[in-house]
Amino acid sequence: MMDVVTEAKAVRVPSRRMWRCWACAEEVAATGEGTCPRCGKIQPLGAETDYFTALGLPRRMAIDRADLERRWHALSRRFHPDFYRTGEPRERIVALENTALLNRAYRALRDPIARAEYLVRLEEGAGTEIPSQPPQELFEEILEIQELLMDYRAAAPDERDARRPQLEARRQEIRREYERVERYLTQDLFPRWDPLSPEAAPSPTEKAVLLAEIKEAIGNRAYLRRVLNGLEEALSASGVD
Amino acid sequence: MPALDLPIAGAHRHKQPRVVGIDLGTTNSLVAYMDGDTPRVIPDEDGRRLLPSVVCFHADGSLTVGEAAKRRLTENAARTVYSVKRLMGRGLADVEAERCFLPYRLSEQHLDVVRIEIDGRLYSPPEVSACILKDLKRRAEAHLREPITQAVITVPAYFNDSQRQATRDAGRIAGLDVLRIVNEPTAACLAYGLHRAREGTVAVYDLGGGTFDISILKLQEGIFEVVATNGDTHLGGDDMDRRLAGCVLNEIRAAEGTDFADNPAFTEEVRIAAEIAKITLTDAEEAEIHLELPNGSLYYRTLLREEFEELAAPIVAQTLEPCRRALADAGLTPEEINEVILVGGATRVPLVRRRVEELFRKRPHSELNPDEVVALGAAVQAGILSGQVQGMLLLDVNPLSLGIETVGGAVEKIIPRNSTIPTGARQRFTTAVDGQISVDIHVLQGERELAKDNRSLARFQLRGIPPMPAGLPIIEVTFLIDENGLLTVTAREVRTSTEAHIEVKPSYGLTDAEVERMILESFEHAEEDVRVRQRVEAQTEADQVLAQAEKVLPLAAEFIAQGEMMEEERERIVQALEALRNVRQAEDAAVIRATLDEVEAVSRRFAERVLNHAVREAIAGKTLMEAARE
Ligand SMILES: Nc1ncnc2c1ncn2[C@@H]1O[C@H](COP(=O)(O)OP(=O)(O)OP(=O)(O)O)[C@@H](O)[C@H]1O
Ligand SMILES: [Mg+2]
Repeated sequence: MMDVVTEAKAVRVPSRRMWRCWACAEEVAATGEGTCPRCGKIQPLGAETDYFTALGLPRRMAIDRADLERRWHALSRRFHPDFYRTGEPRERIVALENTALLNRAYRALRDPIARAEYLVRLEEGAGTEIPSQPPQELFEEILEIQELLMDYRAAAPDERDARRPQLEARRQEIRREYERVERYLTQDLFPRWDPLSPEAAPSPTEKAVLLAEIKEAIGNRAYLRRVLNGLEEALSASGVD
Repeated sequence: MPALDLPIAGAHRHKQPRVVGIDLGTTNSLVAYMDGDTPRVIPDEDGRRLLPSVVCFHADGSLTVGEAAKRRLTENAARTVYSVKRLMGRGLADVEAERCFLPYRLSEQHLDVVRIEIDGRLYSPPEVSACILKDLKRRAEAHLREPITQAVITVPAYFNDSQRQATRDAGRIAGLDVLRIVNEPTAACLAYGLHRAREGTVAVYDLGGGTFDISILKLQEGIFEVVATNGDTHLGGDDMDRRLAGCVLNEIRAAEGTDFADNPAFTEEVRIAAEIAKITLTDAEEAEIHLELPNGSLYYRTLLREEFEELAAPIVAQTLEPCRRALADAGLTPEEINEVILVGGATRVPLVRRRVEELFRKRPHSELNPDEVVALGAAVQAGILSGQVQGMLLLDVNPLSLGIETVGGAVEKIIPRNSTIPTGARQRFTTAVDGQISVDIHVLQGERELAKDNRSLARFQLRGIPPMPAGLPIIEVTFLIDENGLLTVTAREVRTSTEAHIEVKPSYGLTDAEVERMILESFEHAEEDVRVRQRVEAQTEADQVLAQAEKVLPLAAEFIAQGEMMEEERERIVQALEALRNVRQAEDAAVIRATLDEVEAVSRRFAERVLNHAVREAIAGKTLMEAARE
C-alpha cells in the first residue's frame, strides 16, 4: 500500500478545519493558502490532505491537464525546498514534506487510470484492493494463450517461426480488447462519476455500483496489460535469436 | 571594525555567504560562481580553468593535485589516483571489471567501500575526492578573497543513492557544506536556459570521461522539469582510450612478443598516447602514435579517423539505448524533442555528434563549452539557493526505482523511477511469527525483478515492536527522497504508536563515524587551513577598507579647507593606508590585523566627520526634494 507522506505535525485546534501556525501559533484554515496570514511562514499541508485538496481541485475524474500542471508549478514555486535552504529547520521540513506530497499528487492525478485508482481508494479506504483479473468473457481465450506461449517458449528456435503468426494474431486480438476496456473506462465509466458529486446527493448504492464497475475495469485492464507484455516479450525475443 | 568602514560600506559585508558550484568530474573538475547574473568559471593563479581530477600521494605524506600530478603520472603510476569518481559509492565486486586498468592498488580486505592502498595507507574514494574539492575551494577563496564553506556539487544523473552519499561525504571531508547535489545534465540545461526565454522540450546528452547521462527536460516559464533520465555510470571517453590502448598493446605484443603488462608506467604511457590520438582525430583526419618501448625499440603508427571510429563505434552505440529508453519513459518521439544539448568532453568526437544527430534528427547545440557548462549550471543552482537568481526552479527526478525485498527475494517497487523529487512513500509491514519484536527490511534501488539483481542500499532492522500475535502489529515505514535524491527512512508501529528503532546499515557507504574520523584526519593540516582562512578574511577586510578610503579620502581636502581637520591628521591616515597596502599580501593574518587596527585608530575622527557629512547631505537632499515637490 502506498500513501501520502507528510510527517510535519501541525498542532490541531479543536475546530476540525483549523490549524495553529507552527511559528506564531496563529489559527490557520487547513485548506487555506498554505501560508500563515500573520507571520507569512509556510504551513504543513498535513498528512490527511488528499491529492485533490493539495492541488486545490474538486474530487472529479475530469481534469484539465494544463490547469493541473499550472497549479503544480505555482505550488512548487511556493514550497520547493530550494527556496528555504537558509530557513529555519522546521520550515525546511515543511517545505520538503509539502513538496513531496505535491509531487506525488501531481504524478497520480495527471494519469487518468492512476487518478481513478486513487479516487477509488479515497472513497473506499486506502487499503482497497483492486485485483488484477481477466474479463469474464475472455477467460477461455486467455487460458489458450498461456498454453500457446508455453509451447512457443519450449519449442526449438527453428520451430518457432511456424508458430509466430498464431501468436501475432492473438497479440492483436488482446491489444484490441485492452483498448476496448480502456475506452470503456475512460469514456463510459469515468464521465458517470463526476455527476455523482455530494451536492447531487447520489444514492449510496448508485455510487457503490459504479465504483465496483470501475474497479473491475481497472483490474481487467491491468490483467490484459500483463498478457500483452508476455506476448510482446515472446515475439520480440524470437526476433533476436 | 575599522572606522573607515562606517559611512557607506556594509552592503558587501552583510550579504549571505557565497555558494559556489562545483563539477566534480571523472577526468576534470571545475568551480564556478555567480558574478552578478552571469556564471563564471574560476581559474587558478596560472589561468587554468580545468583541474585534472588526479591526486598523487607522495612517500613523505605530502600530496599533489591536478596538473602537476597528471604530468608526472607515469613516474608515479602506483601512487597517483585518477578516475576516482568511478569508485565512489562502490564495493570491490562492482569495480572488478575495471580494476585491471587502474595502476593503483585496491585493498582486498575492504569489500563494501573500496579502499585505495598506497604505501600501506588506505584511502577511501571520498577522501581522495575531498583532496580535489579542497583544491577547488582554495582556488575559489584565493580568487574571490573570501572564505568558501558552501557548495553545490554535481553528479551524473544516473548515480544511485550510495554514489550521491559518497559525494556528499567528500564535500564534508573537504570542509564544504554541500547545500545541494545536482544532476550534471540538468545543471547544463540550467546554464543553457539562463537569460534565454527558452520553452519546449530539450534533450541533454552528456558523455564525459567516465559517465554517460541522457536527460529530457520540459522548459516552461523558468521551470525546468526533468521528465526522464537514463544513463550508464561506467561509460565515457576513457573507454575509447582503453579500446585504442588495447589495440596498440596487441600490436606491440604481436611485434615484440610482450606487451610489458608488468610495467604500469608503460601501460599508463600507452593510455595517455591513446587519449592524445583520440583528441587529435577530433580535428584531424589522422594521428600519429610514437612510443618508446621499455626494451628500447620504437613503436610508430598512423591512425586514421576511420580506424578510430571503428573502435569507438560500440561505445557510442551503447549510449543510444539509454536515449531510447529515456524517450520511451517520457512518452516522446525523437521528433518531439525541440533542442539537443551536448555536454562533456567526449561529445567533441565527430562520430558522437553524427550518431546523436541521426537519433534526434536535428543538429545538436554546443555553443557553450562542453567542459564548462556543468560547472556554470551548478553556479546557477547555487544562485537559486542563495536567492541571487530569481524566477528559476529545477524539478528533478530520481533515476532509479526504489523498492523493498519481499519474501522469496522479489522486489516490490515503492517509488518508481523518474518520479519528481522530493517524493515519498509509506509502506506497512507486519510480523510473521507470534511475539516477533523485530522486522528486517532490505531497501534496493534498480529496475530488475529480483532483489539480488538490484543495488542494495541499506538493511534496516525495526526493533522495539510490542510482542503481539503474528500479523497483528502494523509497522508503518516512511521513505522520503529529498531534493538531492537522498533517501531517509522512519518507522512507527501504528497500533501502539511506538516509534520503531531503525538501525541503518548502509550497504556501500561510510558510516557517520568514519566520515567524522576522515574529517579529523583531513584536518591534520587543520592549523594550516585555519591560518589560510584567517589570512583570506583579513585580506578581504583590508581590500574593503582600502576601496572605501579611496572613495572618501577626497573629502579630507574639503574638511581641511573648512578648518575642521588638520593636515597632519590626513598625513597620518594616508601613511597608515599605505602601510596597509604594503602588508595586504603578508602571509600572517596578525600583521594585516595590526595594520587594520592602526588605520582604525588614526581615522576614527575623520570617519565621524564623513558620517556627519553624509547625514548632512542626506538631510539637505531631502529638503531639496521636498522643496521640489512643493
Ligand atoms: N577535443 C576532444 N576530442 C575528443 N575527446 C575529448 C576532447 N577533449 C576532451 N575529450 C575527452 O573528454 C573526456 C573528458 O570530458 P569531461 O571533462 O567532460 O569529463 P568529466 O566531466 O571529467 O567526466 P564525467 O562527466 O564522466 O565525470 C575525456 O575522455 C577526454 O579525453
Ligand atoms: Mg562531466
